Amino acid sequence: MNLKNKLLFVIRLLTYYIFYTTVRININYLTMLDKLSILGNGSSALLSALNFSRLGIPIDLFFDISKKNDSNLVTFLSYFSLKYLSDIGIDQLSDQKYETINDIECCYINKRSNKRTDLRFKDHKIKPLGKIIPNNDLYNFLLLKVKDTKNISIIEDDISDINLDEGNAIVNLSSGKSYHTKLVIFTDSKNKFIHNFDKTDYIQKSFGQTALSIDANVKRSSQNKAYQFFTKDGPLALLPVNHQRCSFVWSLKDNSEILKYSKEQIENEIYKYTHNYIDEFAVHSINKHKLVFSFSKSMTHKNIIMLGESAHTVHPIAGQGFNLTLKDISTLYNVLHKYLSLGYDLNHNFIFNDFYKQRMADNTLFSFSTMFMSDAFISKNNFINKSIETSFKILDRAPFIKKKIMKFASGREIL
Amino acid sequence: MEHSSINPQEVKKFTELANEWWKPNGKFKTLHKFNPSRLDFIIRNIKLNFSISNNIKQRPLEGLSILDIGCGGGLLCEPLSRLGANVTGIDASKQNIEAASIHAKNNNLNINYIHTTVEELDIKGSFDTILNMEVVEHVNNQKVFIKRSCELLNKNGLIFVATLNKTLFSLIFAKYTAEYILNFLPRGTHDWNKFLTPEEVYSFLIQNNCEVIESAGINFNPLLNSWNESKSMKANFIVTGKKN
Repeated sequence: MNLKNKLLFVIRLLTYYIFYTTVRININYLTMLDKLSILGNGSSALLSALNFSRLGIPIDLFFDISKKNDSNLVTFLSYFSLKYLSDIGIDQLSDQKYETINDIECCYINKRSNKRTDLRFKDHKIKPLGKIIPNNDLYNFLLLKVKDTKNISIIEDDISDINLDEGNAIVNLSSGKSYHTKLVIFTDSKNKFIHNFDKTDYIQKSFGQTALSIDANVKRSSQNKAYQFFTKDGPLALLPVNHQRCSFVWSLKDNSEILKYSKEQIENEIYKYTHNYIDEFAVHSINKHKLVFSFSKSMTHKNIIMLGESAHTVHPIAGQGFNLTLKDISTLYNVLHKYLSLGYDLNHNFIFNDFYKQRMADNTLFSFSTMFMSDAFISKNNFINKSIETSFKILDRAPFIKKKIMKFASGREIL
Repeated sequence: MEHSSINPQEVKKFTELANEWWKPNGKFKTLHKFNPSRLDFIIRNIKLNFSISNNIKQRPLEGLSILDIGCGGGLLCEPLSRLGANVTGIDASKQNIEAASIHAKNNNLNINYIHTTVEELDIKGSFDTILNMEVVEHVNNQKVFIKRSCELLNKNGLIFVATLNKTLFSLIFAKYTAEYILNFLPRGTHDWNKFLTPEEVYSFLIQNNCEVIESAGINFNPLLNSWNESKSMKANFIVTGKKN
């Protein structure tokens, strides 16, 4: 080998070395990235991705766009939720096409005597309480925003498995691809992986009820008001979306005859309770949803945090399901922001502990109180009926307590 | 030896505990709980002094050089490195440095750990920030220790000194209650005679051309089981000095 060849050999060796070390450094850098993974297929997953993307970290959103939910369900978004969504750039909800809810009127009908007792939540200083938004509209607004957000990658492939070890999690896809992450967030109660974890931490039971969600065109004389009728068959909510459109949600026992009724019969049944408040109405669509209660006692498992419906599915009686989810998301955002600003890792146990401490009490209170309420309002026991009647009467004459409840329901207590 | 700050018995004590550093419920659990409050104080002061915005950014401390003296297992070095700072951690215990190095490597962090003392530190250049956190009460010659620390500091750089106040309160609560009743710390961790008053720390810093710009207490709230920054400096306190 002459001198020229020797020199060329050394240069080639050096080039290989530089190339190899640079590529290796880049690979190391990529695997070092603090990635956060979100699993879910609903608005909660989209909202979580949008929120946590504000932390400036890359988000892998495992989300199947084709599984879009076409139900006619609506969501009550409290004043706090609307403000929070507006702050993260979801401005469409302030649109006039969604009616603001300022008052709520509850009407309890005694199961034995058919006697009515009314309870009105109205305070001109606490308004608006919120808005009723169709789930599909909310989903579309959020999806549009997520697609526009640079640090969110949507991964649509099916997940085959999730491996958890001490520091990291690996999300394996059916396609054979794997995604490494430090923190996995579950947002969806339909997530099959929840049940792979410690079952003793997860309570799941049927309410023994089915909700009818009814989308209708309605003419009303009174605006900005939602109604809840506690009928002998179960609670029926009249939820105005806008001046022409309303949603009715009727929670019925699984063995209720009404579930077998035709569209016209259901219209007649609803009209019996609502004729004083609506002039005309025509039902567009009726969906049925089995009501299931689920509650995670830990809200966390190794590198996983469960929020929203993956941690708690509550009865729709108080209309607080999505607002609870939003409180979970906003709390987790604050906890992550605090610890990431202090240089902690995404999977540090402080993050899991603080999130649990800050959300557990509120979630427990809402989950179990709504379960208790749903049982009480559907009960035919005379003592319970009388007790509810008396409570309604006392509460209607206690403006201070009503004010507190309104502040709580609208989220003003936490603003 | 009289000018050396190192206390061999203290080094031996911490060497025996080296494997405990990163166990959240181990013998240093109190230090873990305490860490967010002191990190918050340090990062806030650094951001103010070096005009770093509070906006969310991946590596806000990028470009800053930080020396952590008596770094132990690296409880402060790692978060600061993750925030982008160029961190050097030194400790007189070889086992501490080994424990810190292994943990940093497992977490893909590039921290320069050196088994040395501040007097023997052989390093070119100086630092933008120096941390003397809960270490000054474990050295022999505190004046020499702070003098040497200040010598390693860049002009307009920051030095943080955290220690325990020499008060009756700290003797009862930070020494006896914490070590013998609540088991927050291993018994014999602290010698009350080596505690310093805030005025003594201020005086050491001023003598070494450093202006005191902030000081605060970090106190335990037994109801919330948490450590929080407070105005009361009766026990744990932290002082920031800025080199002129």
